[in-house]
Amino acid sequence: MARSFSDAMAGARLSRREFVGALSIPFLAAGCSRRPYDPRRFSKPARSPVALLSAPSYDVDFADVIGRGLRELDVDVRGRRVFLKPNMVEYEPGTAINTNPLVIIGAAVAFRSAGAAEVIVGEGPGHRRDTEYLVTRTGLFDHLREQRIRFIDLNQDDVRYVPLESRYMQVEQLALPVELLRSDFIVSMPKLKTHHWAGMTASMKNFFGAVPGAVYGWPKNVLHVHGIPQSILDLNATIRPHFSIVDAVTCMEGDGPIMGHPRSMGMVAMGRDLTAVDATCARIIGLDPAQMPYLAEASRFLGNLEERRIEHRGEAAARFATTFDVLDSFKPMRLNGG
Amino acid sequence: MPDPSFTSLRQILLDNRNTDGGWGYYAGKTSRLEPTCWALLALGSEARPFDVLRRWPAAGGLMLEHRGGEPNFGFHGVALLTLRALSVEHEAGNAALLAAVQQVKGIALEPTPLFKQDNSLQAWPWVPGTFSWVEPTAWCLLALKKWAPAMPAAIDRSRVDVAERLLIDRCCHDGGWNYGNADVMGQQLKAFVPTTAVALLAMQDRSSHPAIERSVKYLEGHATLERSGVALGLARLALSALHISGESVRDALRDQVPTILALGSQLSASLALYALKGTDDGALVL
Repeated sequence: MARSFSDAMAGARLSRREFVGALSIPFLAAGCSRRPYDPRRFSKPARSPVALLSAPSYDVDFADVIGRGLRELDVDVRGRRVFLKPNMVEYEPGTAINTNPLVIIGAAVAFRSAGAAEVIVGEGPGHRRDTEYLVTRTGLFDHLREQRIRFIDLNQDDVRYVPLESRYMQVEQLALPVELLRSDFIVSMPKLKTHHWAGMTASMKNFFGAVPGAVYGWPKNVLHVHGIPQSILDLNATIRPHFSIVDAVTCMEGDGPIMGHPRSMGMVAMGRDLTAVDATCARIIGLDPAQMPYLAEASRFLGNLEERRIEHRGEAAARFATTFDVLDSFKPMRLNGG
Repeated sequence: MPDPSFTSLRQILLDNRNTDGGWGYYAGKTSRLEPTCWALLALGSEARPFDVLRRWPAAGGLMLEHRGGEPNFGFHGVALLTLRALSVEHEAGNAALLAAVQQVKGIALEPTPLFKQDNSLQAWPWVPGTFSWVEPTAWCLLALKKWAPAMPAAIDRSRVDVAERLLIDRCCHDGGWNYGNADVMGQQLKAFVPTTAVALLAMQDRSSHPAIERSVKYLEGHATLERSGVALGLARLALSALHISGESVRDALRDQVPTILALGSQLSASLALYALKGTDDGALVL
């Protein structure tokens, strides 16, 4: 059967094994000479709270679940312009590719109830140029219309060239969407999935969708040419997202981010520190975040990776802990050593 | 009596034209090359004068995606088609625009067992320093073919040849094209309607090739399954260029108009209007 996935890695120079194996080189080199970021411009919290909330299915009231999480984490968005950045890639019935629209709308309602001045939803799919098709076919458009929420196609928004706050990609600047840059409170809303190039995709990798396709093309090959982990780091260092809400109700395992299989987990993970949220998600699905080069590097300047620096709120992580199926090349990343 | 869908799409484009004569992707946004070209094509003589296109900023013969930005080779191809259709001479000279884009090549990569494709083919990327993909290759190829009768000496046949080879190479197993990988890690990937339509427009004069025959069948079978102004509009235009009835696509496009208006994409509105007008101005027909 023909598969729906479209991956950009025809533009990659390395096989997956070579790709993973090569990651330490530029970072090590950077450590030997000059850091690719200015440490004075970044500060990690001493401890990072991460809320884990139960959501057994998509039938729950996500405005209530997420609202409780916001209160648990003392999130104050009163009078602020909140930008929700879900992960929308491809439409394929019966799969777990995209952030579920019910989670997105639940978050929008929760932020409004918490006093946000405005809530906007925006995404810039990486392979599908046709955002109208994705937004309508996934059902998101109906919810947005009902709640009178604006949708921004990040691929086609006006852009501003922004100097990068770190230089892993070794480029000076990137064009980024102005609606995202104008927002006061940027929320990553990924679907938790395994990823056949990066190991796992969650809060941090989600910002590939912030890179405008009209400027950089589809797929966003510039990011692959400069390296996936390098691009994840530079985007997060520059955009500086404020919060993350991970749709881990039904996740994807195996050959993600598109070709994998749905895996029920019944969880929503939330937190201000995206590194900590992603590290927690990695541990819950049985992967060692320290073995994921972009997370390990992020822990140097963007956020906390070590368990002792992450404070779980809500449910215990053990309640959701499981071992996701991963491709063979990622089995060495498993917490138990594969 | 005028078609209300037609009227509403036309009006939104007329109302939202920027003071510089161009269009943004959405109302109130800055003018961008792609929506400007499609809006000009859709409105035709009603959008005169075409100074915005004549004076669109270019660097080294390559039109910029937006003022102060970089070239986007796919949209440069769309602009070349628009210049031809509207008989506009860009201030840099259309011959210079044609020459410059023919100097552009995507990067070549080593073969890899992960991708069943010929990575040595260097057609057109979206932006400098990246790989060749289906859509920019198709738009540039179609532009070269459209300009060939008027400026035969300006067309490098080797660029036409490599672009055609790339499109054949990247054609999906069951016909059609996605963004540009047909087979990754042993998995046959699915085609998309809009990219299939664009590639078929570029290959409309190669209809006897088995890959093109498969792709025409794919488009006929899938044209109404992806609902958007862009997908349905391009599908209708491709079927029309191939002399295939697209009445069901036209009906689906008419049904899509309220959604197009609600989402406010001026690219989608332009493509829908252009396809609904059905006046064959020959802009995309060889």
